[in-house]
Amino acid sequence: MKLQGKKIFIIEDEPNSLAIVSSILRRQGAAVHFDPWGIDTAERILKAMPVDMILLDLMLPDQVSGYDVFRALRAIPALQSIPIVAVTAMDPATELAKTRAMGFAGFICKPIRTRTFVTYLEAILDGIPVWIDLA
Amino acid sequence: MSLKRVRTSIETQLVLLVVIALMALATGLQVMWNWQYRMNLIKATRMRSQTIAGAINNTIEAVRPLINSLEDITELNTYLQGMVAQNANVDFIAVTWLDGTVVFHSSREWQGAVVSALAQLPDAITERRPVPGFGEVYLTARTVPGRDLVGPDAFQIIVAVPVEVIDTQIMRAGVISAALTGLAVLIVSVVFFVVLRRNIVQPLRQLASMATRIGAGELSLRVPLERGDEIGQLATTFNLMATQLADLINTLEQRVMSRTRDLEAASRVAQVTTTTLDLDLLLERIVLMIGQQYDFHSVCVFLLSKEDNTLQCGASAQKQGGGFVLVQRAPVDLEHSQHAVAEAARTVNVVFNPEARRRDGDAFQGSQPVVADFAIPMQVGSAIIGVVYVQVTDLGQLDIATRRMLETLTEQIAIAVRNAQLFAEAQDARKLAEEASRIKSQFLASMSHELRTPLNAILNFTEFVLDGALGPVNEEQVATLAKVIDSAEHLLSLINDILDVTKIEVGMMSLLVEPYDLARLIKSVEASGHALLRTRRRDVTLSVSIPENLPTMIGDRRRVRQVLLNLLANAVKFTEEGEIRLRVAAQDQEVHLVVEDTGVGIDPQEQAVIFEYFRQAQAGLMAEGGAGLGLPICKYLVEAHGGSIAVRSTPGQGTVVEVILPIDARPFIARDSSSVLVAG
Repeated sequence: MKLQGKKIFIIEDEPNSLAIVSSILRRQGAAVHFDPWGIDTAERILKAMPVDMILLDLMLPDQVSGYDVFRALRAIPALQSIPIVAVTAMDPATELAKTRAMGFAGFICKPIRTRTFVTYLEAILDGIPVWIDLA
Repeated sequence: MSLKRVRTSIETQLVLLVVIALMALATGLQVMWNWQYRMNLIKATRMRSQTIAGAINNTIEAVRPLINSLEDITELNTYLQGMVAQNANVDFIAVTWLDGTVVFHSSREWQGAVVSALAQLPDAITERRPVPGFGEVYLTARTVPGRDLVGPDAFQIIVAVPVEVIDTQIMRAGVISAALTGLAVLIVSVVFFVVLRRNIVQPLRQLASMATRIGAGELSLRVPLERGDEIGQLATTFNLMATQLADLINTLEQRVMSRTRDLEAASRVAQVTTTTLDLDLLLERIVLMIGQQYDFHSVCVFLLSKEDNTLQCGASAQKQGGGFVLVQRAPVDLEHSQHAVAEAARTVNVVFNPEARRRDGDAFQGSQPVVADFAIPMQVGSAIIGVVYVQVTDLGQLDIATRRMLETLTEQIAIAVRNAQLFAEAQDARKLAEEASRIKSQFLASMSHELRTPLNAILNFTEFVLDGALGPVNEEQVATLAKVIDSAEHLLSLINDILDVTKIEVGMMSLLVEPYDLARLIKSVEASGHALLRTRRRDVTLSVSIPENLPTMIGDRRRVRQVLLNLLANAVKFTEEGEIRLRVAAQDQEVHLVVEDTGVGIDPQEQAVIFEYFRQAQAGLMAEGGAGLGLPICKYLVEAHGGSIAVRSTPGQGTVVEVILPIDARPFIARDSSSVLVAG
């Protein structure tokens, strides 16, 4: 139960995904904060600090790309050391290499599965990058 | 034989010639004159001598009656002496009796013998006569005594002149005349020299110097000699020649200039046509360049528009002020216009109109009227693509050479225009293809996302229920929910396959090539295989053999794993009992991956088609269903790595699938594919 007591911030606009991920994390004893991408997301994360991990969907509303969010968050010094993990239904064949090159802590392809998902996040918290491309 | 070059100038030669001729003439004249002088001198001497003789004779006749004795002769002597003195002592006068006795003589040298000899001499004055004991004389007069006087006292008068006296006079006169003649020759020579110099030599020298200067390039020089003589004619001819030479050189220079201009035009057109692919820019550059190069009134390139059968002005340059400006010109109707441009396009021939006047529809502001125009059809193969049209205000600008040149340039322009058109079409096509490609990849990305998102909900919510997160579930519900999860997983794998096939079909399957650890990959595949067998509860052994020191592979780790998982899943699917073996062997630059099972096997006929899309072995269909996409995708992925895949099977005994992969796939990845190549 490595996720016990960890504070995890989820950026996800799709309600089902948000519900599934937060449900899995809460059952693991983690504290979950979330926000569909808005203008005050960075502020919310800063208010919720210390945050242990950020889970980021790559496809967000209003043509906002997860990469833009990633860059915006990375630009804030206080958030620079928080691992950001891409959790997305986008094609790993095209996106995985990009996230790796940009400095994401991991890439987890949707659909996720409860057991493996928890394992991956625990590894990332241990500092092991996780690149999961086959669902 | 050697020819000595004549070094002496014409002047010297002429003067020498004239002096020699003059001297010869003078010498001849001198000789003649001397002869004449001598004859005249002798004649005069003789006449004078005869006069003297006559006078003496008359005197003697007159005095004779007075002379009676020899004593009287003394008297006579005295008288004669006086006469002789009057005659300047030049003559020898003697008076003798007929018997030879000398009565009187004017000189002591006149001895009796001499006088006798003189008396005996024949009466010929011009002869020089030797007189013994005296010398030579001219006998100038001798009286013949009258018959009545012949008697003992008859006498004879003899006059003679010594040769020396006459010769001295002749000599003196000869010397004087020779001196005078010499002076005359000198004067004439000097005059001749001066005249020669002024009238011939100097003009000739002038001619020579002019010729040298003209030869050196001063073609406008003319010899200023207006004379009627030969030198004048020579100068005139020379001037004519110089004029012709100047004309010739001028013509030559003009030809060279026009040739140079043509070459320049050709090279500039070549430069423009080889460096410009934008059609509008190309045409503008060409019309401006030709206009400037040939100073035409206007140059226009018309392009044939097949849509409305008109010739549209692509670009038109027109002289205005000191330079050229781009103007727009009205289109020309191909079928009905009488314009040279339309005619050239219709007849596929050049149209040269030396009588051209401004035509309707041509809005020219130039002050000079257009006197000629020239239209050249632009052809590519047998197709007309347009017309090059030139107008001039001076007919000379469109001579035959220039028209030929324009035809040559037009050929080049036509090719360049076609190239530019093709380039534009190719660019349009490329843009369309790029747009299509962008839409396709967007569609694929969107499909991937949109299909996986609901599956995520289905799988996870079902699992939540199954795990009792929403309340207790009974066994029947668990079994049902497990089927939902199975179906969803199957659907997920189908979606993945369909997305892969679609990527392959639209050419968007890209490989992420990087180094990877094959042993680790196989271990992960092995784990998945065991999980599969557990899930299916098969009584099958899975054995995997991995040799030590497998090389680091370079390829798409994810796709290689997909291939092995697929083969293993097939083996599990078709093997009810027995063994599944996964063997790995590295050999040279290749790695052999063999998946062997003791399953149902594949019919030989079916072996031939299992790598085709949507074809699946009958057994497969019977056993599990499926879309038959796995093996074709495997084949594509293996071959994309530069590898191969082969299947051997005996129905009822089992199947062996062998994949051979190059250790380093990079040399086999096509450069023009959309493969992502990640080094390191």
